[in-house]
Amino acid sequence: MTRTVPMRQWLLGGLLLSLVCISSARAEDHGPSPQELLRRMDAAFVNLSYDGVFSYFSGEDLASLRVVHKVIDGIRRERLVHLNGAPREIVRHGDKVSCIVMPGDDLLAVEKSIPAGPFARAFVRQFDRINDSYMVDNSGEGRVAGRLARRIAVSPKDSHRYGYRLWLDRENSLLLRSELVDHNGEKLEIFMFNQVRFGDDVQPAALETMQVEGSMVSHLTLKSVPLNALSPQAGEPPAGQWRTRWLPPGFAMASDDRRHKPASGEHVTSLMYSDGLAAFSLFIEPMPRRGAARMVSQNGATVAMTHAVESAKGYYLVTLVGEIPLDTAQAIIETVYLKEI
Amino acid sequence: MDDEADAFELRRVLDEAKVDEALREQWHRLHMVRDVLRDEAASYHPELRDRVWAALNTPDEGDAETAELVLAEASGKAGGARSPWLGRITGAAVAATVAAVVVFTGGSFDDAGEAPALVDNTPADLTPVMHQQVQPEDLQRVDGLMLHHFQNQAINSPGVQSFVKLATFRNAPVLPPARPQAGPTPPPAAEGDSPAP
Repeated sequence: MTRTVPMRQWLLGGLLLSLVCISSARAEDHGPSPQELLRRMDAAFVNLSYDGVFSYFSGEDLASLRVVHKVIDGIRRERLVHLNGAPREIVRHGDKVSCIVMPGDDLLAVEKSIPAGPFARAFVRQFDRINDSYMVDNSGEGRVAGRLARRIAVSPKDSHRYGYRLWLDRENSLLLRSELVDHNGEKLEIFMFNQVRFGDDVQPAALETMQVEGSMVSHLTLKSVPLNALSPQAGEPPAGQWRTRWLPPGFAMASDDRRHKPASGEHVTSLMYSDGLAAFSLFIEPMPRRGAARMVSQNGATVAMTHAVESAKGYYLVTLVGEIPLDTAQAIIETVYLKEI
Repeated sequence: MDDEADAFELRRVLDEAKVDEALREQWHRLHMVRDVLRDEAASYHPELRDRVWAALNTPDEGDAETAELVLAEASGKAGGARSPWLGRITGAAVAATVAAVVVFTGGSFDDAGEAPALVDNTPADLTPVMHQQVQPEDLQRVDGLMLHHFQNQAINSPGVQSFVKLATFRNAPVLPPARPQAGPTPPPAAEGDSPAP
């Protein structure tokens, strides 16, 4: 015996089905949430093959660079080439990074003066934390390097950090353009692809470095070791004793390291803090015998400033470097102190 | 004026301008021209240089801060946001390095007492500004620590942007002159030949 469905139930079912379809269509229209897009953006950096030329503006400098990225046999390969000025390349092979420069490059001289050794794994970028400090919103669509892009606005909730405007490729979520802006909307840094290609169009040969006679190589290595692995030497206060009495909300320590300057042999404590997006480092060293002026410098979004701290163990020079507003940097550095134990 | 001078050069020019009337006038004219070109002539104060110089050379901590106030006052922003004057004038001190702005700040260090290391190693002729004078060692140290920060950030980030700061760090805009190429020497120019433009 067949039971017929009343017309009223048919209509109700049809209405519900229509509502579900409309709702799904609207969700599809809106696309993924901005937080999800940020996660896809990071994944795109790691997983996609891309080869492009982009412009980078910071402060008063404008540069053109080429980037090639490809995963070969499960290992990330990346090559970044500065297209202006002195030949300079940065090549990443897994967790190892090499800088290839010409003799006489200022980078070599500067690098000799900085603490040597591998870098500890620091959790600087953590998108799951940024909701405490930023509002993340979709802000429409745009077009960059001839490709359609989704726009995301990352707006700070207070004045202790900068904001970001991001353009993500609509197809694969690669970051095509970003702007770092201050509270007045002034652009401090701009990164923008001029042209880019993906997938099989990226040839492995494009990862080969330049073969310039006389070029020199310096290496950076990322180490996956516990923080505070370096034991303090006799007479040196351990890194963990350095503290700040104040930090902007949302910032937490991302790495804590101690090493020696290759030239002087003096120890430097470096503490890196992050709010999930922005980061700054504090470097603490015994007061140098020469050159200890209090200074503040700013280029684009990067601020650097020094401050002297007097403790029972002597005078120390604290240097803050980071992508945070000047006033915030000043407020932080003035609260650095050596915790007595 | 074009933000290409370093701290010592700026100070030397200021020093010479104090005794050299012609240089002082030239300084004045060049800045007027620059300001007119930038449509900022109204903000120029001829006495500003002397006041800044006096403030920079004053060992008193409060007067060091006065340097900032003088500059801020010149732009009508005393007590407010950073002065555009401050950015340009003080920026000249380190324009050759990565920094675009340098200001000299007051702090608790001198308030807490003298630092023998600083005093003992400061050249005698710079004694009045020993705590405010940026030395080459300062610039080198800050450059190195900036590089360290960029490296640490870059190597822990998935994207190319962080490495961009490393790749562009103090990259010289001008290449050194190319070495002479081996090969036949070009014949000397004949009389009457005009030089290449």
